[in-house]
Order: sequence, then structure tokens, then C-alpha cells
Amino acid sequence: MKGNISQPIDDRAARWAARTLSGVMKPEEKTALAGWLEADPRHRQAFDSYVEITELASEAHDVAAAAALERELEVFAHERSSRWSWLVAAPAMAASIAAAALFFGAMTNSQPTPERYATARGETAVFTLKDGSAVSLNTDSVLEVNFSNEERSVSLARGEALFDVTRDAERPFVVSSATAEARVLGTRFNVKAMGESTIVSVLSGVVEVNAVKESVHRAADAAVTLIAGQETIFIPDSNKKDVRTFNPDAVTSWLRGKAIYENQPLSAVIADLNRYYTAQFLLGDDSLGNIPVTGGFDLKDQAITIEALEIALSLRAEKNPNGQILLLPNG
Amino acid sequence: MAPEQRDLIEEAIRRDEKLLIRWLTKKLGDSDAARDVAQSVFMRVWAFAETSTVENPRALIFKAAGNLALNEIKRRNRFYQRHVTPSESAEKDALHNVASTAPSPETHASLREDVALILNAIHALPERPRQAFMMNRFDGLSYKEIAKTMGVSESSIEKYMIEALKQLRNVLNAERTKGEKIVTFPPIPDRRRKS
Repeated sequence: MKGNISQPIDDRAARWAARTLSGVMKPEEKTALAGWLEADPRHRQAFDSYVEITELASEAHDVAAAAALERELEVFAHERSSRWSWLVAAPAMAASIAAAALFFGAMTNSQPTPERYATARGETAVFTLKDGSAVSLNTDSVLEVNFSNEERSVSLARGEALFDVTRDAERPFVVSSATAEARVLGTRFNVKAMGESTIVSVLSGVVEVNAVKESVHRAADAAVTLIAGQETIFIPDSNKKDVRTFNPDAVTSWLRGKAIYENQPLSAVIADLNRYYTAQFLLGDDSLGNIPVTGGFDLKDQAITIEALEIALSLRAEKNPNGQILLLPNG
Repeated sequence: MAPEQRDLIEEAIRRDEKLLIRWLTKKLGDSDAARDVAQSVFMRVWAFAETSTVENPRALIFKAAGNLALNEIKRRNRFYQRHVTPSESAEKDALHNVASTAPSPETHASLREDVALILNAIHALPERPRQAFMMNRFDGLSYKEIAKTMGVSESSIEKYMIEALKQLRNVLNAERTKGEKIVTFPPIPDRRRKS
């Protein structure tokens, strides 16, 4: 077949191919090329052989460039592992172990009683479980720990906790809330139970999240697998299982005594902030609820938070006789 | 997915996550993009493991990382191509260099046969047609930009391109004709592209 194409046709086809690759063909040139290709099937055949080699060259280059990058990464990994192996080791909780945890374990020998940890409003605590896993407990939270030989089961009855789980392939680590159950082998992730909804955010590793069966009518396939950087929100009677990415700095900000919000409605921000303070925020006007809020708030000092809300959102805060803080439009 | 498989992949992702983000940040000069690409790498590995058995997850992570990093580099290269003039941006030059990572002939040996054949053919081109072809095809430069770099006219670039195209196409044709002359029994299915 190739032998049938005459030299002049092939020369012409190569010139047209080079014109096409310039990417700056004029409309009249495009029309001329289309006419030339239509005129004779051998024109098309010759031209196509140049299109093909062009595509093959790009494919070959991509394969080679990807392989070169892969090798580069291998070398990088090798260099890192010899110099920085201690950095790659499982991350340990930097915070000191706080004494705030309450312990009611093993009162009787007959029945294993779960260990119970709790924090008061505005308080956080860090503690280590028997298997070496670290747990940070946020404000107003209750966690029950019940380890057996088969499973390391913890239940977040209320609030928010960040888990840094020690690896144990024999005994999975299972965190359950009212609505969701997260099952892992070893990883770092945050679980936030707000009323009936549960948000699971994975900071490293992989976590499988299931609906708690009694709580919601979810299909058996409602399991969601999350990898580092992803989170999902479980809401009762909702079949949605959206997986989205999140900002790790915002999700873990409570460990640093801050709350960070990105474009959240004021109503949601108030609901979240109220977890931390005894003096609860209240919106004086429903229309305020939709104001978008982006920023960080100090969780240790409510006075600073009040001032920040007043200045950033042009609000006025007033304490009412019940000790609540009423937010009102300014002026 | 079998529990041991899940275990293996979890472990690998956990172990290589930071390393991968660090390398991608170095490569792309942008930690947000690095995180996004790392995310895609893990998703791809996870999806692959859903349907196939993975024995060496780290090798799979690195392979996916190579491919997705290249996609991102190319995507950015095109972006800068359109929005920045070549002399203006040092960043573009850096990307340009990465995208031109043309492996040397000795590394071709480890690649697929057809890929190695074409890369060797490009390598064998006369210098100026080879430069013009690689800058146009692999770095996405226009003839005008190449002409400026090489200090010749745009029509010269077009001539170099014609020369490169012809020689490459002829190498491919020769290889295929050679294949056609080999008679095997029993016949083996032809997996090459039809001409």
C-alpha cells in the first residue's frame, strides 16, 4: 500500500502536516487542506501516516517522561529514607497528656466496664489508650473505650475527638457515634458528632465509614472509604454520602485552641462556637444567620471572639438576663 | 477487597503520603497542587486495588505518581503557554525543563518496545530537526517561539519539521515492513497499529 503513494503526494502531505502542527493555520489554508484531502484517497492516506507518527511520538514521550518522573521519585524516596527515616515514623501526639480525663474503669471484676473519658465545656484533653493510640478530646465530649481481644471499640457519645491510632492488624479500631461507625487499622482522623450528624475527616491513612445500623435506614452498601484529605458527613435518613476534601488546618484547629471557618453561614458558626462557651451565642435576628463567615476565633477567651464577631461582621453583642449573648445588627 | 489487601494499601499510603507530597511540592512548586495530585494518586491506587490484586503497593503508588505528576506538569505548561510570554516567566522555564525530561537512549531499554523504537528514532534525527520537533511536540512551543530560540526564520522551522516528520514516518514504515516479512507458524496475532 505504502509503495503506491508517489513521492510528490508524500512531499505534499508532509508539508501539510508541518503546517497543521504550526497551530497557526489561516482559515483559507484549512479549506485548502480539506479540499486536498477530499480530492484523492491517497492524499488522505499519506497525510494520516504523518498524523499517526505525530501521535505515536507524543505517546512515547509521555510514557518515557512518566517513567523518568517515577524513577526520580524512587531516588527521592531512597535519599529520604536514609536521612529522614525518623520523620516518616508514625506521628506521635506532640501534646502532653492532660490530667483532665475522668476514669471510671474496672470498678467490679465481674463485668468489663468501659473506661469513660469526658471534657467540660471549653476544655480539651489528650490521653493515651492501652494500645498506645492517642486521643485528643475536644470541648464538651464524652468517649467510652471498650477493648476486647477482637476489637478496639470506642464510642463517641458526644462531641469531637481526634484519633491517632496505633496499628494492630489483629484488632481493628472502631469508633462509633450515634450515626456513623469508622473502622481502621492504624491512621489519624477526626470524628465530630453534632446532634444527629457525624463528620469523619481523615488526616492520614484510610478509614472505612459505615452507618450505625440501628440509627438510620441505610442500604448495606452505604460504606464509604475515605483516604487522607477526605471527609464525609453522615446525617440520619439521608442517603447522601458525599465525600469531599477539607482543609486539615481548619479541622484540627481546635487542637491549637482556635476555630477556623471558611465561608460558613453565621448560624453554623454560632452552633459550632456554642460547643465551647458557657455563655451561649444567640442570633437576635434570623436574617443574620446567612452572613458568610471566614476567619479564625480564639476558643480560650470568649471576649476576644465576641469582639472579633462585632468588628468583622458589623454586629453588636448584648448580654441578656439569661446569661446568653445576643448578636444584633449594628445600627 | 480482602482485609490483608486493605491492610497492605493502608500501610503503603500512610507510609508514603508525606514523602509524595514533599516530592510533588518540589516538582510543582505549589503545595496545594501537590496535595491534590497526591490525593488523585491514592484514589487511583485504591480504585485499582478494588478490582485487582496488588502485591507491591509502593511500586503502584510511584507509577501513578509519575503519570499524574506528568499530567499536572503538562496542564500547567499549557496554561503558562497561553498566559505568559516565554521570556517573562522563570517558572515557565522550570516547567519547560521538566516537560523536556527526554530519557537517554540507554534508559529506553526498560520501556515498551514500540516506545523505545520511536524515542530512538527521534534521537537519531539531525540536530536541528530534532530540536524543532521536540520543542514543538513535547514542550508545546509555537514555530515562532522555536524560531526565536534557535535564531532562524519560521519557515526554516517548518522545513525542519517536514524533515523530522518524514524521517520518523519512514523509520516506522521500515519497521512495519520488516515485521511483515517475518513468517511465523502458527501465525501470531498482529498487535501493532494498522497502517
